[in-house]
Amino acid sequence: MSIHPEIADLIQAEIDGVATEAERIRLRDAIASDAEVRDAYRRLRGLCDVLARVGPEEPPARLAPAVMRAVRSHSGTTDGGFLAGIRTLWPGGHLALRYAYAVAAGAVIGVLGVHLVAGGGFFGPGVPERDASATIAPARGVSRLDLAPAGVDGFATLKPSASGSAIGVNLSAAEPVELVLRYDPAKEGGRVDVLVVHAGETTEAGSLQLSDKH
Amino acid sequence: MTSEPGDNELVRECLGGDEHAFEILLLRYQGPVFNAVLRMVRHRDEATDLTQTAFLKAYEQLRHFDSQHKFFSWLYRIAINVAINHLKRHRRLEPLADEWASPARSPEDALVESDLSVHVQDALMSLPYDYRAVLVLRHFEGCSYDEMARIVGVPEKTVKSRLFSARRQLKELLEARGILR
Repeated sequence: MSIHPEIADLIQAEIDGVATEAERIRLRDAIASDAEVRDAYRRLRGLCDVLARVGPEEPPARLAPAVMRAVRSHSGTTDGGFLAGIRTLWPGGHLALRYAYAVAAGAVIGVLGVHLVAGGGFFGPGVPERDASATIAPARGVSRLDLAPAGVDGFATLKPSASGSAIGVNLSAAEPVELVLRYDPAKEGGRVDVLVVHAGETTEAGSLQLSDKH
Repeated sequence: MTSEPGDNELVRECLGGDEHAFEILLLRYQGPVFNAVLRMVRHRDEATDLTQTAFLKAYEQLRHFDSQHKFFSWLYRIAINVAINHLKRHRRLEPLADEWASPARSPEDALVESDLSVHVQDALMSLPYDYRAVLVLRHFEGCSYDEMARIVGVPEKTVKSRLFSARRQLKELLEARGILR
């Protein structure tokens, strides 16, 4: 198909109902004189007709109550500390169930709030090593994750330790930063997702992985 | 006669501490947002979780909402980004099934065996995220070019060309499936 881009624009404008009268006349002329344009218009119109037949689905009844529960929880715990904040990030549904289960099973290795002042940084001690070693399988290598893509100057590591595995964080931040570490044993042989919470915005920085590859 | 409060009015009330105002916004937009996310990720459970995340994010970020713009555009933007981030994280680039490569069947055959919605969703899932997003916003949410540009964060010209390419690909997929000819 080699429809001229200008004609393609006209077809799309007509289909989307935004063509001017002058454009409609030009398109009508093009359709009348060019079988290829005619066919392109017919096929695109056909696609739009098909898509129009796909109706919306009803959202599940549990959605709105779950959101409002989370909102109320958020309102009531805005200053309630980091754990309260974490609870509001995944307020209900499958994710929350999964995390709740993980916590109950001792699979969550840690929820870490790191508040650093300018130039501050640390490694290791921020996460009690025995907590990590008690809840995750031993790491078989060192995994390093650059946090820059999530807007934080620093990196996180996962490496073997005497008692299991240790998570390290090295940051340089001018204002408070919160990190969430989420362990899922079912993913890729054990994966630690790192999320950065900054000014209320949660960004997934990436993953540290418990695998032989590292 | 009472008229329903506008989105911006509800946002103001919400920022003033009225949670019920947010509940009205939620009930007003949960359907469209859920459907947009559903068309992006396909699975209802995932769409439910992600819609929930999007609304909560909107609530947390409400003070940053610029009332010069439309609330729903801002909300869609959050929702689409949540969905795309989720897809990227899970690398859900669904390969084209073998059957897509087979000769087209007649529309009658297709109709007998198909649920149109499933076929369309299958085709959507094999498109790149950015193509999928503009198709969803245009065809399932009825957004204008300008609204789509705000939501996906690209110029209107880019939206148009992206939409054209997305439609062409989707059309070819559905034609191969026998849904279109």
